Order: sequence, then C-alpha cells, then structure tokens
Amino acid sequence: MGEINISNLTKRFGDVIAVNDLNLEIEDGEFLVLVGPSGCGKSTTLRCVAGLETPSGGQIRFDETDVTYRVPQNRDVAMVFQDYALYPHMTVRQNMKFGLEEEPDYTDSEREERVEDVADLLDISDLLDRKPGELSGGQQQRVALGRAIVRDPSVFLMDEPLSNLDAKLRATMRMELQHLQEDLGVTTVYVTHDQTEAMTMSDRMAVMNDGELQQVGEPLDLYHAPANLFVAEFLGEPNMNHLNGTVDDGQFVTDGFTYSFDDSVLDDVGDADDVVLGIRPESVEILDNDPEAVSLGDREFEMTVDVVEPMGNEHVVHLDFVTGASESLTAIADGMRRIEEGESVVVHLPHDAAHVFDAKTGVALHNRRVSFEGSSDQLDEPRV
Amino acid sequence: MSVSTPTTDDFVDWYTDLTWTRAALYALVLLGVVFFLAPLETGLMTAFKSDAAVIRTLPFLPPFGDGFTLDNAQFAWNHLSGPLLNSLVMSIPATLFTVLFASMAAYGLTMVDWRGQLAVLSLFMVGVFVPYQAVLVPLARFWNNIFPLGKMVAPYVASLPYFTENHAVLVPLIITHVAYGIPIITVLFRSYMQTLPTSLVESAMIDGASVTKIYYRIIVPLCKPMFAVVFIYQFTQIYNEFLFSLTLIGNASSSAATVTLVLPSLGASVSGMDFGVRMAASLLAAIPTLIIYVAFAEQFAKGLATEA
Repeated sequence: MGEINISNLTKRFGDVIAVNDLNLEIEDGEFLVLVGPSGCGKSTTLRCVAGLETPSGGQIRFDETDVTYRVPQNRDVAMVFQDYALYPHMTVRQNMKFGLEEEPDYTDSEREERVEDVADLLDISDLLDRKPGELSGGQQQRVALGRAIVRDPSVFLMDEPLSNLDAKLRATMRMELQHLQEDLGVTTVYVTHDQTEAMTMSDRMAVMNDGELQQVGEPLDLYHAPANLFVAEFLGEPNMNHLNGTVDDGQFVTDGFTYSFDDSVLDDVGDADDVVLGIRPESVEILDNDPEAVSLGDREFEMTVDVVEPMGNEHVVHLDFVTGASESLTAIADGMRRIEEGESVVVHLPHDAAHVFDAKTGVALHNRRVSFEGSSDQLDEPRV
Repeated sequence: MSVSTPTTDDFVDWYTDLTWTRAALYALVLLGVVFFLAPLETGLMTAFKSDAAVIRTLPFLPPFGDGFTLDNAQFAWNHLSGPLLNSLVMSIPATLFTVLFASMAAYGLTMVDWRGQLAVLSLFMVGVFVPYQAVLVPLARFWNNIFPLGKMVAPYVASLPYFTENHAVLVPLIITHVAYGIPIITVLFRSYMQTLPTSLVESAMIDGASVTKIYYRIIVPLCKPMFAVVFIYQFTQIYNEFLFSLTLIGNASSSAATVTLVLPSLGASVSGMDFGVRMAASLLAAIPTLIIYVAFAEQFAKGLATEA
C-alpha cells in the first residue's frame, strides 16, 4: 500500500540539472533516507514525489499507479517541512484537523477524536488549543509530525524535519521518530544532510551528489563498502583518510610513504595506476611502542602527533609523517590513553583496513574486509 | 535592593545635558508640530464661529461668547448629509469589491502556477499607470452610449427606499472604481504574498486543500494586515475621487451627487466666501475617512511594517 517506484527521474531548472536520471525503489513500510550535501538534489527528489515539482522526465509510481503528473492533493502523502509550515492563525487542533477536513469518510466527531488520539500518541494533548507562535521549536516539530500522522497517509515525506532543533532534542526525536515509524509501518522518505541521522534512522539510505544517485543500501553496507570515494568520504566522522598515489610493484607509493598491498587487494586493483588509498580513522592503530627503541615492522610508520582533540570517550588524533610526506592521517584513540601533542609514535595500518579507489573515476576498486562479531557473513559487493 | 530616588545629582545631570543643540532640536520639533497642526486647529475653530467672529478675531483663537455658533455645522449637515450618503453608497461597495477581486487576482498570480501568468501580470502593471484624465471621454461614451447600464438599472434603483432614478448612475460609477482600483491593489497584495513562506501553501496542497480552500482558509487570514492597508487606501481614494464623479454624475445639484462634487460650491457665493460654513463642511466630509483610519489603525501599522 505504500510502495514507491522512481524511474529515470530528471528535473531541470532552466540550465541547471537538479536531479539526473534517478532510479530508486522504496518498499512498503520502509524508512528510506535520502542524504547528501546541500544542493545535491535530494529535496528536489522529495518534492517530485510529493507533487510540488513537476519532473522534466521520468516516472514516479505509487503501487504501480503512475502519479508523475498528479497534483499533491490526490497523492495521499503527508509531508513534514523543515520550517514545519504550521498555519500560524490556527490553533494546534485546527492545524491537525485541516488535512482531515478533506477526508470524506469521517464525521466531525470522528475527526475530533482522531486528532485527540494522535495528540495523545505524541504527548501534545495539552497544547491543542494554543497557536503555533506560543510553542517552542520542539513542540512545533511534534505538532507538524502530528498533522502528518493524523491523516494516516500511505507515504510520509520528511524534509530535514529535525534540523531546526538543538542537538540534544534532535537525538531524542531521532529515536522517537524511528519508533513511531516502526509502529505505524508507513513508508517514509526522509531527506537530510546529516549523516548521523541517515545512519541511525534508516532501513536503507540513498546517497546523492550533484543530482546523481551514488549508492543505495543499508547504512553499514554503505559505511564499510562504499561504492565510490564520495560515499566513503561523506559517511563517517571524522572523515576517512585518503592518500593519493600510484601502484608500483605491488605497493602503494606516494612521496615519502609506501604501503604494501596484500594479494587480495592487488587482485581487485588489477592494472590501475593512479589510485586513492582510504583508511577509516578507527582503523589507524597507534602502538604503544617507543619509536626509538623498536625497529618498524610491516605497515608500521613513525609519525608525530600534531593535534589531539579529546572527545571524552575517545581522542581524535591528527598525525604527520616524520618522513616529510605532505599527507597526514587522522586516527581515533581510546579516551583513557595519554597522548601528548608533539610526541613521536608508531602507527600501524592493518593490511585488511585498506580501501582502494580509482583516482580518476572515484570508483571503489577494493573495500576492506569486515566480519561482524557473532556472524560470519561477509558484506555484499557494493550495489549502485 | 535599593530604591533610587531623584537627587540633586539627577537634576544636575539633566541640566548639564541640556545643551544649545538639544534646545534648538526641541524648538524645531515644536515648530514642526505647530506648522502641521495649526491649519487643522484653525479650521476647527473657524467652523464654530459666527460670521462676525470670523472677521473680527484671529483665525486660530477659539470662539468666545456670542462668537460661538452651531449654525455652520447645521448648514453643512443639511447640505451634505445626502451627498455623504451617496459617497458612502458608492465608496463602500466599490472598496469591498476592489479588495476582494484584487486579493483573488494577486493570489492567482502569485501562489498558483499556470502558463501565461507573466503576460497577465504585465497587464495589471500597465493598468497601474493609466492616468484618469486619459480615459474620461471614452468612459463617458461607454456608460452613456455603448452600454447605458445606469439607464438599465434605473427602475430597480428607484424602487428602493430613499433612492431616486438619478442614483442609478452610482452603479456604473462603482464598477468604474473597482476596475481602476484593481491593478494597484493587486500589485500591493502580490508584494505582500511574496513574503509569505511558500511552505504554508505547499503544506495545504499536500493536506488535500483545493486552490479555493487555500485562498479563504490560509491566504486571506494571513493577509489580514494587508487587507487593512488596502481597505484604508482604496476607501480614501474612492471617497476623495472627483473626476469620475464629475464625468458620470455631471453636476452638483443631482440627487446622486457625491461629497466631492458638492463641497467646492458650499459656502461660496457672489457676496464672498463663508469661511465658517466651508470649514464645517470640510470637517464633516473628512469624518468617514477619519473613522476608517482609527478603526484600522493597528492593522494598518502592522501591514505597513511588514510590507517594507
């Protein structure tokens, strides 16, 4: 009852292509997050699904019904806007009832009842007779959500609904939204530029850039097996380390730095010359060894600590190569460990932590091997 | 907690602050107040003075003893009450229709997407700049010869209480005012509506509201301050209008004559100008617009603030 099928969707504004040939299937009851930097076309895609923009090309189907050119009024969708778009001259009750007025199979008392039920669900019953202007941002957000839920639509569309809340409230609402969506089981398309929201809330996420879909998949698939350099860099905080270099005699070489690939990597890399080596900060190991005392092992490097950012549970450590390479690395170290700025340390880059991307196209040639504890299944190959 | 009381220090502060520039500023402000209020005050005083008092006393002094009279006001009321009613009968519907149609047009041209919008909007823009003088002759010919609406409705108008056949001319006059008011009011509404967040209309669309429902449930309530502004503006404009009235009604002795037609001849005769009567009549004529301003003052201020 809420399957969405987007095929070859293109939207142009004059000469600007906002969305280019997008194909996306959203299953019934799924929570799909569209994520990407601002201007990547994610909001435009959502607005096309809502019917607020007319696509320049392509097709949008709800449950096999073509709705590409249908007006928003006839799509049975509900939308939560970034600025909430509450009608300022109406009370919360009137705001929530507004959408129900057009539903023919309710009597007035049933509408009233439905509003009260949803208000109960969202814990906003005591706000029903206030105007939006008298509410805090968080309360307005709940009302906007309530207005969408009240209509019992087949699809929820959310355009950065949490971006105007403070960090703490956002974290709470994130969890609540997830619970709500699970309970209601309504297909939801959620747009955000915040990768934390995307990772934590989605069943599947779709990463977009420059109007093009980069990759769709489950959050951890995308994190561990990104299809290209853009997805790899976009997900993860701090960003993935990346080093530009060449493959030479089974080794990754850049000025002042060589890193030997193992066979599985070399198989995947094939005959590519210019590549980008990517390593997630949490894979960079800072060893306890004193660099003066020990000789460096395989894939071990002497580095100087440039900056330490203590986060409490962990340190974000910025490292420079002592060999004078222009590149630097970011590592995550345990929060209980003492690391001084200016200190010399030995850094180990494990052989199975390497991601390799083609330098020209950005396409992933090899992704790190991951096995989750308690299960032995390997991640699928990246789906694009 | 200490309570501050006025001390000699405060006085010294105040006194030392009082520099020559500040004194000059106050003087200038006072002069400005006098300059703007003196004519009004003089008019008010003159309206209640007998002829003798008008000649003998200074214009801005209040009337004393024998000099005070209500005759002027009485005279003005007797001659203006009919025209006042005519003016209101013309202005109020004309204003209401203008504002209603213009707000609809602005909504259609701003918040609803359709082809050829720009061409229609340009027509409205052009309409703003058509000078009244340029259309007087075609207007008279249209309503008198081509489409004599006044004559057509005359029997119906005459059957109403108070009204005579002459009053039928007010019907084409109202339509003329509506037609000429719509362009500028539309442009005003449009500029206001452009400041409204588009997400409100989009949200209403997704909530299933039709174009008409969005207009009267969302747009009209949100444009309330602008309604006050254009209501005052348009009412004053139509109430004070002279050329159309002169062209279509013809002369001041008609029973349908509006205030603007009658006022110029009141108190003027070969034997000289009766200042008392003229002032009383002018003030009387100004009362409806004053009432409108006072009634909508708050909304008006809000509207102006948001428009800028």
